[in-house]
Amino acid sequence: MAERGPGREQAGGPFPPVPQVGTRGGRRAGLLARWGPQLTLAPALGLLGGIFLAAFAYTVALSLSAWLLLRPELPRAYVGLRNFQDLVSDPRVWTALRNTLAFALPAVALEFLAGLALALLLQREPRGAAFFKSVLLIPLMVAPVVTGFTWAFMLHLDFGPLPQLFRALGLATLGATPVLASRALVMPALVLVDAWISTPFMMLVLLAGLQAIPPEPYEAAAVDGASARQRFLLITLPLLRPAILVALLIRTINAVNFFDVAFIMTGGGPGTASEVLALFNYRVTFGDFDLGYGAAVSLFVLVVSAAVSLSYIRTLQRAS
Amino acid sequence: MRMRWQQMQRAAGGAVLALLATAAIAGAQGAGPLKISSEVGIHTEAWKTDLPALEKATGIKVDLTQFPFQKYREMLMLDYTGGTPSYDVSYASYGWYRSLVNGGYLEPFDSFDLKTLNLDDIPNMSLYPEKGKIYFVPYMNEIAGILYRKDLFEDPKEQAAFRAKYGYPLAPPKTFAQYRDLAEFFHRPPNLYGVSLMGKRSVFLTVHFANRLWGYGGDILDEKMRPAFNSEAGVQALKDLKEMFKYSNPASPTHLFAEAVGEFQQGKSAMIEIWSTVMLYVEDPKTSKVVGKVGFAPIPKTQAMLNKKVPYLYIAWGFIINKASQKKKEAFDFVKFITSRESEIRTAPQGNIPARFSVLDAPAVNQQMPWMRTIKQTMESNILTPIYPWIPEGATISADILPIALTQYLSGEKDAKPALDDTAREVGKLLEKGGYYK
Repeated sequence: MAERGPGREQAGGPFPPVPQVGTRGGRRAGLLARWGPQLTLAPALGLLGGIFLAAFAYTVALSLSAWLLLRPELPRAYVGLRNFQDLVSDPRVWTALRNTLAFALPAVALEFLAGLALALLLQREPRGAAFFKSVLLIPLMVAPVVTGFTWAFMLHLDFGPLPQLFRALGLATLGATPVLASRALVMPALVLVDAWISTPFMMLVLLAGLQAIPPEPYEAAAVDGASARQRFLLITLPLLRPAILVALLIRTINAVNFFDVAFIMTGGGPGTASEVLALFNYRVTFGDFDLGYGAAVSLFVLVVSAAVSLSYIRTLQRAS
Repeated sequence: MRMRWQQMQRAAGGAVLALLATAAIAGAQGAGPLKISSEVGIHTEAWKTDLPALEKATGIKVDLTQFPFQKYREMLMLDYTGGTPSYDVSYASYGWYRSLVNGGYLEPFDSFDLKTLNLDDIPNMSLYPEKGKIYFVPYMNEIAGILYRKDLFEDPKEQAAFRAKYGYPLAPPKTFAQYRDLAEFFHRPPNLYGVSLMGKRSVFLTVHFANRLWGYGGDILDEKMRPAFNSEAGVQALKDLKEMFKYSNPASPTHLFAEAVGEFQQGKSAMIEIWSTVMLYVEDPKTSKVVGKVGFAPIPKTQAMLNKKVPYLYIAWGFIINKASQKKKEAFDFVKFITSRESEIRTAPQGNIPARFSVLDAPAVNQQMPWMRTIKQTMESNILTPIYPWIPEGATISADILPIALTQYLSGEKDAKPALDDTAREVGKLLEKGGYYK
């Protein structure tokens, strides 16, 4: 008589035999139960990770070499850390970093405050909330290049509506200044344009966070006689912290890599007044065609993004 | 029966193999149209009009892809150096092709019957040979100049008022001082500006600077390839340029080519400092309100240089052949046809300043465009000089690096000398990396 494994006594019933603990079938079932989700995600993660790691490794290799695309007759050469040494001593890099922080920090702060205010308003589901949510999302749907051209047109001294509005409001100097050619006004203009684009994103994330807060803490606070301000500061903000972290992280990384709208509206000018890191990186890589140095600048931008993001995470974790 | 079936199978298999082999050979020989890249621009639209004649005369069919100017250089460099080039022929700026020659990406026209191109008819051809061979054949040559409103300059009331104020007759400027006076005289905002300029950080602003730099006896690089634009001549040129912006639209610091030309086309300025192609734009009744009212004058000089030949901005666009092309002979025949005297006569009125001197003089062209003669005379009486220093890094210097110094000064971020000095250091580093100072 052939040897039967465990469970075979139950053979013939409507359901497959249940693998017993300690058996080969039981071990397989245990592994699947424990690692199933990871195994399901593994192919997609492997593909994405592979692409990212391959690109990252190539960028690192490029940053350690000298490769001038304008001089293809000169051979590529390994130069070690020379590109990074040049980067540290290059005043243009520090100007671009200063410009990037001068753009990113106020832009993200403004978007956060405006997004939170809108989310708090919409959370109450006022009349027409669905309509307002749809309208507020329009900036997110417009291509950045179109946004850049449109805002450059709106700020044009001759035919842009904004200078005409400034003049009508009695702001004669502002109405007579080409904003995008003014080193004092160009960065605030870009901050405001970015706020127009990205406030809807902040609003969406924070609104989702607000709607996930259970009502019980508010009910308990009402019983204890807490004021609206106390409820906001002591209940809403702490419970909203995870959503705030996600929103600020994503927006900060995007702001540090701000490129397309600035490229269209100012090209980095006047002078280098609006030349943020991404624009400087573009100039080095596709203007000078210095691919090795451009790769080093790319890695520097990555480090800056990571540093700013980590500081957010630590600050918020400390506060909790 | 079985033998016949097997024979039929073998025959069918042989036929399929033969078909596949033919397709492979045809692919290797480059079946299909000639692939050409170009910019989106008026001269491309001009030579496109002769493609039907090309096909009729030679049988060559063309598959053309056009790119916006701002992205085209980048696309061209990456495509040719990327290992799998997409185009047989490219229409390119004269400042771009030399690095492709150095990298071995271009086919010299000397590989074919060079004499049939009749290059003696094209000015400044001595600029183009690399290692004794020709890799670039111009289709379009043009020069900088001042376009001015003849209707305003020839108005008796304006003439009387100008003479009364400045003490000399109202006429197109010959010196920088006269140019400034004219701009001031006609500056009547908001309906009329003295001059249209292009002040945004770009190669267009470098054109304004170079017009003055050369006029003052300076240059972008010296004979040792060291930056020379931060000299006394450069400082004076930059200050001169800032002075002229006083008589332009306050929005000029945000203007590029399209805005400046549009402003002049709409009759909002008395002059525009630009290059000769724009004569074609202002004579287009579909878009211009100043048709028939515009004259062309050379860029002014200093009083001391009036009767001397000075470096004079000269721009050329032309054709290059990809060394990896499977259709080099067709590519050469295409270039030969499109740059021929007959084709250039046909296409000049469609939107081109022809490269051939004989076409600039041709009665058929001068009948429609009499100002072509002035262009020819200006080219003959000056030292035609490219806007880019004649090295692979030239376009980077003129288009990417120099405009930074210019806008830093114009926006008040730095004084003229420090702005030019800092930029000279950047240019020096770029050339040092390129091995020019070994």
